[in-house]
Amino acid sequence: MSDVNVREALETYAGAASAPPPGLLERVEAGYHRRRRRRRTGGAAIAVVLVAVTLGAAIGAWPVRRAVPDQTVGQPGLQLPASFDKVPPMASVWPQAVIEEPPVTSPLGRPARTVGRLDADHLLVEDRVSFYAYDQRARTFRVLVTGFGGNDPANEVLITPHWLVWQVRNHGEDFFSVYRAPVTGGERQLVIKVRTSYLLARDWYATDDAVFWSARTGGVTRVSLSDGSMTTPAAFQRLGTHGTAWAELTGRPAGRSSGTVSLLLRHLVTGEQRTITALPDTVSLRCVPTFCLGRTDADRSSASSASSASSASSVSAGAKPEGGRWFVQQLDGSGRRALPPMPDRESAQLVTTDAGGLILVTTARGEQVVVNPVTGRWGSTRTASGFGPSCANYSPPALRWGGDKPPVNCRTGQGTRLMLFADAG
Amino acid sequence: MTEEQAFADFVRHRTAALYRYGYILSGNHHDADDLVQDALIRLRGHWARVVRRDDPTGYVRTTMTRLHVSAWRRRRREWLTASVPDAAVPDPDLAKVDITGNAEQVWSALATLPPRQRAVLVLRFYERLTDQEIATTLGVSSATIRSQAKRGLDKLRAAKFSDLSEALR
Repeated sequence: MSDVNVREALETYAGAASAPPPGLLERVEAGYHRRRRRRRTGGAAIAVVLVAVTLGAAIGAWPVRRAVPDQTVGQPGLQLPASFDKVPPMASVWPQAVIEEPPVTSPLGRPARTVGRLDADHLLVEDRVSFYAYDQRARTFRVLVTGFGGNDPANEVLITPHWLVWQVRNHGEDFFSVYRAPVTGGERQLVIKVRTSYLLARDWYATDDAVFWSARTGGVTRVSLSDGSMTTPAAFQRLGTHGTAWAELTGRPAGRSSGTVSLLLRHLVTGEQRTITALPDTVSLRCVPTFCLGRTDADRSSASSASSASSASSVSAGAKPEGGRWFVQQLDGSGRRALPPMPDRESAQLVTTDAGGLILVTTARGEQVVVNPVTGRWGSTRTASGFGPSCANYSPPALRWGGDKPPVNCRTGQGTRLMLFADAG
Repeated sequence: MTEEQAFADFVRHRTAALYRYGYILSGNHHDADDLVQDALIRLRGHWARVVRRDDPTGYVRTTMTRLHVSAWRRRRREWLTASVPDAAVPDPDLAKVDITGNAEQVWSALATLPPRQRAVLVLRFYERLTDQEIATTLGVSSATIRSQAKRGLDKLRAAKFSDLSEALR
């Protein structure tokens, strides 16, 4: 028997589940009408109590809506909102990035998943059977590729100017396959099969010529899309991919047993390099070519905030989250600015895009706020439901929200909205 | 199409997938059947609202997950004792953990997990939800989710090693 992991075991047994017993609809209808009868006989008293409680709760919880002007800290360099409570809606900030009505089902009636943007009018959508070009205006699908080359869902779907590139596995097999197909549609072509042990990161990156990923043994693996040749270029022996054209060399902060800081960035294609300076109180630091997002030591944050009070300005007042203070800085360590208070140390993360990077924040109220400190733009989902750069292994990463329930398995339901990070400047 | 017809269509088209989900969630056909039926009864009562504002499939799956966990709680109520509250377990590599073995071994080990731990692993590895999405689905904090996932994976590892050591005797 082959080795499998938890995911494969679950999918194997899900596929082997026998058909449900017949007569389910009749039993559901009977159960529903039983419940209705019980509720009716439950009587007016319960209804009165419920109405009273509901009214009380509604009055008590009625939000006080005030038109609060967006406030920025008026200093040059990286910009941050003064508070995450006063951030405008996402769609008003990045209308081109927010998809109000992403497709919910494919032409086959299967749940559809938006995995990227092909051009201004078309989204790349998959339904575990085919890739489609979805016309946002006409709301029509065109099949690009049918069959992903494996019986697992396609992962790491990347869009280059001329190719779709993806990775896929078969249940129980210890290798994955990389395929490409013309971005305008056509037959898939196998690029390479690789043992799974080489697969470490999901932050893949592709150009028209090659696909890159981080190898488990260290370094960035480059695979030619034309002949499938695999190499680890010497300049990238110790680096890791970032999901963008910039690979990253990371290290541990001096004198610490945990934490990671970026040391330098190097362009996968041109070899261009950017060095990074982490100040002594930094315990974690992730960078894109235009800025860094970091966190200070909890024990030393008071001292550092006092010493950098002039640059942190009033936005840092009271900002002392568990595990230290979040901040942004330039790559050379200058221009450090503290982020407004957040509920805990996992509330902020750096989202990398080819255009640079964004900061994704989860506020104390559960809303998602996206901040671009370079352009000084920020937007909020304005709702606590739904979350995340889920499907981060799809390119480009997307944020989903809306409706009463979180989107399941990266697929969008009715009322769900979608923001493609790559389109947010 | 009337509301009844639309609901009947939904049941016809989605039952098989929901049943599969119920099966991996509960581990047996009987409970899978109960979960699907109970969740669909609840959906039937809120069909118009759910269709208008939400994804009915997501609604049913969330209901099934919560029913699965709460059903276990009802059964176990008389054995409950004071316990240590869930605490956050920092483990950034948790999402990359693989428990290897054959599918039968892993499935058997999953059957030994409490329903909430099993639900967390199903949502993470089968539904591929993030911890925050799982937390929203189950109505708990993401720290609890990480804690439950870690405990579940630890038990799977222990079960696997136990099986292997027995097999080697």
